[in-house]
Amino acid sequence: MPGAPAAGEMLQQLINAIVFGSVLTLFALGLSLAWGTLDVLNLAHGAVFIFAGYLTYELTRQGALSFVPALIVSMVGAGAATVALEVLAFRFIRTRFANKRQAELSMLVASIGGAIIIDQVVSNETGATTFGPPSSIFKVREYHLTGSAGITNIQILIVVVAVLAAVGLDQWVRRSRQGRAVRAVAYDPVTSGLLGVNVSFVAISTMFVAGALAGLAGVLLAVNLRAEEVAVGQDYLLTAFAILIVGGVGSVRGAVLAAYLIAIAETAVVAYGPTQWRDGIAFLLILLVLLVRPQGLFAKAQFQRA
Amino acid sequence: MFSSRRLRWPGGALALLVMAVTIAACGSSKPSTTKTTSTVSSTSSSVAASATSSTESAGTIPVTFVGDETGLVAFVGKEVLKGMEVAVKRANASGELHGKKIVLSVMDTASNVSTATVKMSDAVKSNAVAVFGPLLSNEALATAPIAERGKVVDIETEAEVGGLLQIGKYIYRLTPSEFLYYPLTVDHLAKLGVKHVNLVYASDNPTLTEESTKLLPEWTKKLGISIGTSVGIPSTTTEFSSIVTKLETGKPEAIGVNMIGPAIASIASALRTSGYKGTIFCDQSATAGSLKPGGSAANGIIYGVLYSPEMSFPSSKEFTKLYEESFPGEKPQGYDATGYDAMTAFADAIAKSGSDTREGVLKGMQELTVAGSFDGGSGPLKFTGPEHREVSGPGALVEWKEGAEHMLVQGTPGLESQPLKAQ
Amino acid sequence: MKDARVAFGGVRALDGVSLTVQDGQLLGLIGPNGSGKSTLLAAISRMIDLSSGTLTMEGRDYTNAPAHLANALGIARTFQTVRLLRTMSVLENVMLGAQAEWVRRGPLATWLWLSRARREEKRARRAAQQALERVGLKDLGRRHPQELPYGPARKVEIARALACEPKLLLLDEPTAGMSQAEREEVGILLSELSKDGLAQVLVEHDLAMIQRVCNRVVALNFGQVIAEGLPAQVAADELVREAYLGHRDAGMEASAPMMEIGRQ
Repeated sequence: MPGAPAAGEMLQQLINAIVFGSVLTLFALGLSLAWGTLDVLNLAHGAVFIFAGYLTYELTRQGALSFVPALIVSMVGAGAATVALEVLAFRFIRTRFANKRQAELSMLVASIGGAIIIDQVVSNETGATTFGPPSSIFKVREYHLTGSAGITNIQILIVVVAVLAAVGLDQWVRRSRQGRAVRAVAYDPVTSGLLGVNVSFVAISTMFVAGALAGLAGVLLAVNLRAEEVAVGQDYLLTAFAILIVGGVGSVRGAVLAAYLIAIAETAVVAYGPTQWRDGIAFLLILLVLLVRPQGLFAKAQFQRA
Repeated sequence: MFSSRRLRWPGGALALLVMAVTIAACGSSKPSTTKTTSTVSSTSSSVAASATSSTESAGTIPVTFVGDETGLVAFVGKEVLKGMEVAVKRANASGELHGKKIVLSVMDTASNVSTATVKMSDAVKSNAVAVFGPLLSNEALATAPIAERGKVVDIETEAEVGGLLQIGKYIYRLTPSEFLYYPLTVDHLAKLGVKHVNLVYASDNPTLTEESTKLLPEWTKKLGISIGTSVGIPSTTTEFSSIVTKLETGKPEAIGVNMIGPAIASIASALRTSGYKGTIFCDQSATAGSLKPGGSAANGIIYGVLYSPEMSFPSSKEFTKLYEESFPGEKPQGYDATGYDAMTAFADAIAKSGSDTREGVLKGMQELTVAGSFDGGSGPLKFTGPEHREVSGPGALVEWKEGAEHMLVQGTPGLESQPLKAQ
Repeated sequence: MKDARVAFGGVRALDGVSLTVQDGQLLGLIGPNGSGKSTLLAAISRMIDLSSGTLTMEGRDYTNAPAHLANALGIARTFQTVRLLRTMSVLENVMLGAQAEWVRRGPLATWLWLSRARREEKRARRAAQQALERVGLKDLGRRHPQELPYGPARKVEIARALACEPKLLLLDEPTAGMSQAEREEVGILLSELSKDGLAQVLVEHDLAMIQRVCNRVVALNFGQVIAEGLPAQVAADELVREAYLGHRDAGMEASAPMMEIGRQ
């Protein structure tokens, strides 16, 4: 009997961790894809993520669209924003700089510029304050499990979508011929081009997929959190770096594993440890991994970097 | 109260890069610095804009708001400015300025410290007889010494940071600290019969941390309320379900959410979704629309505010009426009141000293201090603190309901801070 | 290819080279190191840009087309150093060649035409397997390139190029580093391909091989054509002997196969 509430809490925290891990997975997948294939460390990923939440807010607050159409439009919008960065910046940098390191650094800086522009647009439109889609677009309901534990329908949706997206991306990259083209471009863009792979189109579509994944995460999180602001994207970006490093750059499976690992670790700290140290956990994991296994937990990267 | 909002950008090299690019972007994209706000006065803008015409006999009293018109806290800066505009309108119409008129110009700091210092230097070099300082604490700390050296009265509003007033005698801060009216909330909790509360606060925000870890425990203890779990989390946190589960442990009758930004609405929504039925109380950061995205889940949240349109003080009513006339269809908020309060004190100072030179403004402010208080939009404000260059206000306790604040309790004016009556 | 010029800095890597390859022709390209052979292949396959001149394939000008379009026109190549993708199996590497046409439509196509994509995938797999069989490596599909010895790895590259179903095959020293027996096999393969009507350009240091399989030879030096004609004619050319063999008055047998690994 005395153990009952504690067990309920424990179950609840486990659910919390899984939901959190799912959001992180969705966020990290796109970042990992862009970095692993095109060597673009896209610091605008967090801004795109918030941009999608903002689009949903704009599309739904006057009741113009319901949840699913708004989700789709927002994902396309997020994908388009990322493609715009690719077309307007990354592509030129890639051809301008023969030196890979220089190109990577330039793209990093360009993506920061992109993040600032997107953030500024959202800030201006929202008056730089808190925003969120109306609660009417998605009726959040809680299903009670044993004890005090429960899970809401949006949380279930997040977990299901994250698993589907992760499995889908993994299979796509591993199995499909387009995935093969993506891997080929990741390994050696010049040879791929000579073999008939349209490198610039693969780059554009990969960035679109990466952006749309950020958008998917952004919309689901906006509904789950109810309120967002521009800075939220930055927070996720930092945790996502931790995920990429812990999981191994470019590995879908590694990213998923690392996302849930970090989520569980952070939730455990909140539940049973000094809560304010939660953010430190991610960086502690980065340090440990860098010391013990610098190539990440999943060393054999799928979309390998040369 | 915004002392740590800048910290919301991630730390380290990333932040530096971001800052560097931001600074570069700001430097190039905002060449226009000074502009006369058209809503205030229709007198020729050349009067306020030209730094060379120091002839004060022209019948105008030039002042400058070195404020956050764009940037991180632009949403606050815009409101503060509107409040100032209303106060200018009132003062100019009242005749208390010895036949002269205040002309307000704005220099945008873009919430950026280096931009703010440049703009403050420009303002000090101009013919402005007083300046109104920027809103972020780090901006205020960097700009106040410039005003002090230039011997210009610098009236600060939102920037709530230690050491600001110690910079010198020209620096005033005329927005009451929220610590002075937060007791209204605690007092109300006691009246509701609350015995146990759990608490979450932004651990990277000095104001909220001090309030949550030092002051709130003292106040609750006096009223027999115990704080069970007290959780400090960074204001950048975006995952709340684990926090919410922790806050609900022990089934407290009330839960405090001393956070800033969207976290307030997110945590409140998550609490209600998971079935929490008790009282949720917040810091005054919940004001100005932070709760709006929470929808009906935010109903019933209580928090102390500086100003409510329902306040019964004559000067508050006057402000509310003037504001609604100036901005039809809009409701004044606390941030509007802070701008109004600052500008009203300035006008009162000119009226007192009868001189609108820079020294005259200082003399007037000092005379106003001696008088002990002045009537602002947020009620009668009492000069307080070691050198009487800051104020306390009555404040009010409000409840959020269906997208609007409703006043539950009005604070008592003329006190250093609000009492714990339920004792 | 007409009057092609390629300059790197002040160095003229190709200086007014004109070259035409007919169907079924196996053109040998010889010349000393740095004479412009690899540059010529790079230019034809659109790996590098020409400073001036034009490239045409079956009457179509592709001088400024991106590399993947040159491939779509039917130009495939192997590389001087092995350029297999270590992250994929041998079969997948070869399939990469086989799927060229389809891939141009990009990732979204798979999702929009799922069944068609699956059919395509099967076709590509068959084509890749056939190509592997053609080079005599039908059982190596599941291995990874890095597990293969040098000779078979080079053959995989040839298979990958063949999987593109090219009309013009560019081979950059395909037998370098191979054993004598392997070289013989490749020689036979190239001759067969030639009989099937495939146009080929073979860059090779092994002049015996050139003599054996080529039906036409072009000799380059300092980015210019110095001789052109039947293998025996070119081999007998004084200029060629001087440029290629230096002043050593040696016969063809002097050109022992060279290891050219990683020279690029």
